[in-house]
Parts: sequence; C-alpha cells; structure tokens
Amino acid sequence: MPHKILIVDDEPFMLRLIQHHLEHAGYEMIKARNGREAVEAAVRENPCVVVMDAMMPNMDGLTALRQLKQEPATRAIPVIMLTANPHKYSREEAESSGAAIFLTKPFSPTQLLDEIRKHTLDLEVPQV
Amino acid sequence: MSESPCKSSRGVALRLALACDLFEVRPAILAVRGFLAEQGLPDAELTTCELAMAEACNNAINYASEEGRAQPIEIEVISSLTRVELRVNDHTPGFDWPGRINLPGSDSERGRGLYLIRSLMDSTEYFRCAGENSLRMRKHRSSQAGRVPSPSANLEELSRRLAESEQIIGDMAEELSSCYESLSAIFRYSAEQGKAISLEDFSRQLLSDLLRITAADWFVLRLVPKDQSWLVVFTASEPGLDLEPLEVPHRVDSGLPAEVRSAKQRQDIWFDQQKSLEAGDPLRRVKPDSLGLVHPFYFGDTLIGTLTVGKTISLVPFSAAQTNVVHTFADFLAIQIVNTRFQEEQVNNLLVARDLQIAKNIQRSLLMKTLPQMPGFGLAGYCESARQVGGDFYDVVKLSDQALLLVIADVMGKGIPAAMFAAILRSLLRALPELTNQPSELLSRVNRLLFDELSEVDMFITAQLVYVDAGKRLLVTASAGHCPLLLAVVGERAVRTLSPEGMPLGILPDTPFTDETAELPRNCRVLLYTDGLTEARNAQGELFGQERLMEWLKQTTTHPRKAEELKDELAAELVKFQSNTSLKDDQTFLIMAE
Repeated sequence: MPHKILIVDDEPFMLRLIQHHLEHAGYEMIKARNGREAVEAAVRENPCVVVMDAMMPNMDGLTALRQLKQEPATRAIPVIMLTANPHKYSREEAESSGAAIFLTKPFSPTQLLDEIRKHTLDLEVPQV
Repeated sequence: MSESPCKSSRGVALRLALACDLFEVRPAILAVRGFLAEQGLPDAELTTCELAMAEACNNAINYASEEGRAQPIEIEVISSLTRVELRVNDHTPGFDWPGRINLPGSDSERGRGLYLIRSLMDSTEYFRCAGENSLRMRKHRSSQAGRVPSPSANLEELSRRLAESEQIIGDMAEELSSCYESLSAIFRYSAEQGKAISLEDFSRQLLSDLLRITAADWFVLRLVPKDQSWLVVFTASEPGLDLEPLEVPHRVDSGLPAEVRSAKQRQDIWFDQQKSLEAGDPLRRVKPDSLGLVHPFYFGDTLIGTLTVGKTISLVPFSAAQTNVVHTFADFLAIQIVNTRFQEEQVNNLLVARDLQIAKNIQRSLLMKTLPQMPGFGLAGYCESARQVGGDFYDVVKLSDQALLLVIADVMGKGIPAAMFAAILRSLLRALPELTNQPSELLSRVNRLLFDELSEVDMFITAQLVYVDAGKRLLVTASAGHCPLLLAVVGERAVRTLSPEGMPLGILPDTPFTDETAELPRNCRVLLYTDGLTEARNAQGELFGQERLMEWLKQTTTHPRKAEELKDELAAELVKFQSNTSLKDDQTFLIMAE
C-alpha cells in the first residue's frame, strides 16, 4: 500500500502541483480544501504526513494544526506547514504548535518531497 | 490585414491583424474559413466558427474606445487534431463576462453576439486587461464528419477528451513545478545574497541544489575573468572536475571542446553516449560515460561563462522542465556574478580613490606650506600635479642664516609610483647634511643609493640642487639631467642660464656630476622649474617653451617684486596659456627673489 499524504490547500493549482510530485514519487494523496476538512480527513484516513497551508478560509492552517495536535488519533502525524506570508505566520508559532517544519511559498517541490520522505522513511517503502 | 500562418506547439496556427474597421472583418473571416477548411474542418463546423468569429470581431470594433481604434485587432486561430481555438484580442474598455448568458429580449439591441458565441462554441473564456482583452472560443472537432453519434461512441469520445485533458494538466503541472522550483531557489538565494558569503560558495550551494532538483550528478561552472578570453573553472561539484582553462578563440573550428563551442555558438550543447563529446574534450576525459548539457550564459553580448550539468549514475535524459530549471539557475547566477563583479569594482574604485587621497595628502605635506626664509631673500614654490599625486617636488633646506639648499626634481612618470620615489629622494637629500654645500657630490651619493631601485622599475629622476650662500654671495648648482636654472637681476633685463652637465639619477650607477659656481648678484631672481612648464601646450598645440619662460622672467625685472607675487604671476601666466586644456604633466617651480 502506498503511503497516504494529506494535502490541505484552498488553491487548486497548489493541490495539483503537489499531487504531480507525490504521484511521481509513489505516494497516495488525499486532498482537503480547508482546516475543517483537514481535521476530518486526518481522523478518517490516518495519513502518514499532513502538508498544510497556513492561510485558508473556514479554519486556517494553524488552528487546524493545533486541533490535530490535541486529538489523540492525529497527534503523532507529522505536519509540514506552508505559507506564502512568513510575516503573518511565524515559523516559531507554527513549530511551537507542533509543526514538523515550516516551508515558505514559493517552496522547492523537491525540498517538500525530501521532507515527506524523511517522515515516511521508517515506514514501509511506497510502491511506485 | 496582415497574415502569418505558423506551426504552434499545440497545433497549426493562423495569426491575423486587422484595422479597427467593419470593412476589414469580412476578408479576415474568409481567411479564417479558408485556413480551417485546409485543416479539414467540415462545412457545418466551418460555418459555426465563421459566425462566432464574425460576432467577436464586430463586437471588438463596435465597442472599441477612441484610443483603441488606432490599434489593430488580432486574430489567432489554432487548429489541433481535437479542437479549434479562436482568439480575438481587442482594445475595447472591456466588460464583465456574464456567468450566464440568456437570449436578450426583443427590445434589446445588445447581448445577442455573446449569446450566439456561447451557443455556438463548446467553451469560451474572456480575459480582461488594461487596454487589451482577449476572447477565447473553443470548438471540439468531430473526429469523423458525418458520423452518427452513438452512446458508446460518446463515451469513447468523453474518455478520450478526459485523457487528453489529464495529459494537458499533467504537462502544465510539470511546467508549473519547474517554475515553482526555480522561483523558490531565486527567493531563497536572493535572501542568501544578503549574508556575507563569497560568490564561489554561493555558486556552489546554488548548483548543488540544482543537482538535487534535476537528479544530476556533477557540474562544472566556468567563468571568463574580466578582460580575458579564457573559460576558467570557477567551481565544480568535485575536485577532479577542476579542469584546465580553455581558450575561447575568435573562430569556431571543429574539434573544439563542447564548453568552448557552446560559448561561441551561444547555444546549448547536449551530449550522451550516442552523441558523445569529441575525443580531446576534457569533460570526456574525466566523465567518459555521462550525459548532460553545456549551457552558455551571457550578459548582453558579454560572455560570462558556461555551466555544464551531467549525469553518470542514472542515464535518464533531462526532461524539458529540468532543462528549464538549469537555464533559469544559470541565468540567475549570471546576474549575481555580474552584480558582484560590479560591486567589487565599485568598492575597488572607492579604495583606490581613498588611497590616492591619502597619497595626495602625504605629498602635500612634503611640500612645505611655509618655506624657510633667509634674510633679504623671499622664496615661493608652486606644484600642480597632472593626476591626484605626481612625481615633481621642490624642497628648501635651511643650512644656516646665510645658506640654503634649493631642490627641484622630476621623477619620470606620474601617479603613485612617481610620488613614492619623490618622497624617497626628498628624505635622502635631507639625510645627508654633510654634503649640502657640494651639490654634485650629493647627487652622486643619492644616485648610488637609488640606482638599484630605480633601474629595477625602469624609472629615472631629473633633479637640480642649488647651494645658496648669501654671505659669500655665491651659488653652486649641480644637475642630474634637469632643466637649466634661470638667473635674472632686477634692472638688467637679461636672463642667464646655468646648466651643469649630469645624467639623470638611475641611468648609470657611477656617473659624474659637476658643480657650477656663479656669483649671486644683488637683487637677483633664481628660477628652478620642471619641464612640465616648458612643455605645457595651449589649445593650438603650441609649447610654452623655455624662451617664453625666459621672456616672462626678463619682463619682471623692471622693478623689485616679492617671490610670492612672482609665483602667482607665473602660475596665472601658465593657466592663461593653457586655457581649458588639461594638464599633461606635473608643473613645478621654485622662485627665490632678493
């Protein structure tokens, strides 16, 4: 079974961009468009890693991050936070809320993939 | 109407430009119809496209602004195997494209065109920009004209379209990804630029990232040093790639290394196991079983360098997106290199300017502001350098109340080297007080002391020393290849020259100098000068000359004057003679007046 990665972003093109890389790397992708959907999907699907944008309507990424870290079922899932506005959402704030890493948009897709690989390394190797 | 058919990456395209005039529409539509007919569009679809295009053009003309009427309307028709896209770019103020278009009421005169277009075409998009708008209308082509559609055929068609869309989206995601990758690197490395890392470290980090992103294994970055025609390795991914410099010749001959050919031809050169590098190519020697590309990068017409990126582990060729990333990284790096070089040059210029200012201050301090005086005599000196610092100087050493040593010298050359020797000479002359009353012996000694240093840098110094003894009323002068001393007496209207023989300092190690002794007449004027005065030229190219100088000195002897007045007068004379011409050589003189 390929590893499931939950991608949370309200920008369709960003979802498509990340999907392109994840599919090529052999991961399965679950999409969510806002923080609320993200928390529901994380509980339901138990992904290996969550990649989440900080700025979204209907529950922003940081609020969703805090909820994921409070919920026992999702607490251990590593969360990679993305933001286009590092002044509004600080790295310290995200990391103190439990984010594994904080990437600033435009991020390097290769770097994102490296980060995801880092967190899925101990798990079974995905099937390409 | 101008017309240009061409092959587009997504099909065959026709581009037209027509004036903003309804009479131009019909011929343009016929051209579009003719083009689409050639592409095998069936009659029904031809008529549909013709109608939609006519409506779009009429709208573009009818609603054009006054300013927009002066600009052409551009039509683009792209025909691929699966669909036709019609584009109309206009210069109307534009409008908000309605989400839903209903047939306008019978009393309304507007909106029918849009309704018709929407009804006729499969999809439409409208892009509204400042001063220009683009309407894009798409119609899917029926794969076989006249075929009766069946449910299974429809399903097949839909699946095909879906696959096609997926492919397009995939391609776009790939392209977007490469842009995002490049953009991300540019942001990241622009921030890095603020930190004090060297250009070499910066390049190495950037290109290491490039290897990771493009799944490549090695790189070689060669740069052309300023004012040179060699490609020199600036940094490479491994020590073995620190290859010898490559000369960039004027001509491109066969057998040149790929990096040189790429630089000369201003184009990428690809290599792999099939299309390998030339036998003598240094890259082939160190990376024999590689594939990769050499990308030259320029700033305007100036070659900055070449970037070669290669793979040895995986021999999967670079994709188009990876190639784009290589190009973007190289171009970004080129801008950083040009900026860094420019900044270094500016810093260097500032340092040189500062050093020159310091040197100038030192030299000024060597020329005494107030010269020592001897009862009954006045002294004044003038020194103007062609550059910020120069090789001319004068000096006056007070030996007693009745005796002085006057010195004037001209170090061959200008600028800092000349100024340095001038300072050394001045110090040496002052360091040998026992010889001040024997100018020829003093010159001999100084010549021996300075000979090695001067001859090593191929420089020489002309100098004149004058020992003045007011008590004995005599002067003794010796010259090292210097201009003659001028001696005049108030009321006599005659000028005498004293020009003892002697080679300039630094020409021969042991060369004789002779003293010339003369009586120091009452009310005398002694003028020592450098050839910068006599060789000064006016705007017509005439020399100031020794005669003119002697004439000036002669006409001053009509009545007594102070040395300072004479100095100002001669300086003014020189300025007047040279008018606006720039100083070619240092100009220095020393006047003693009784």
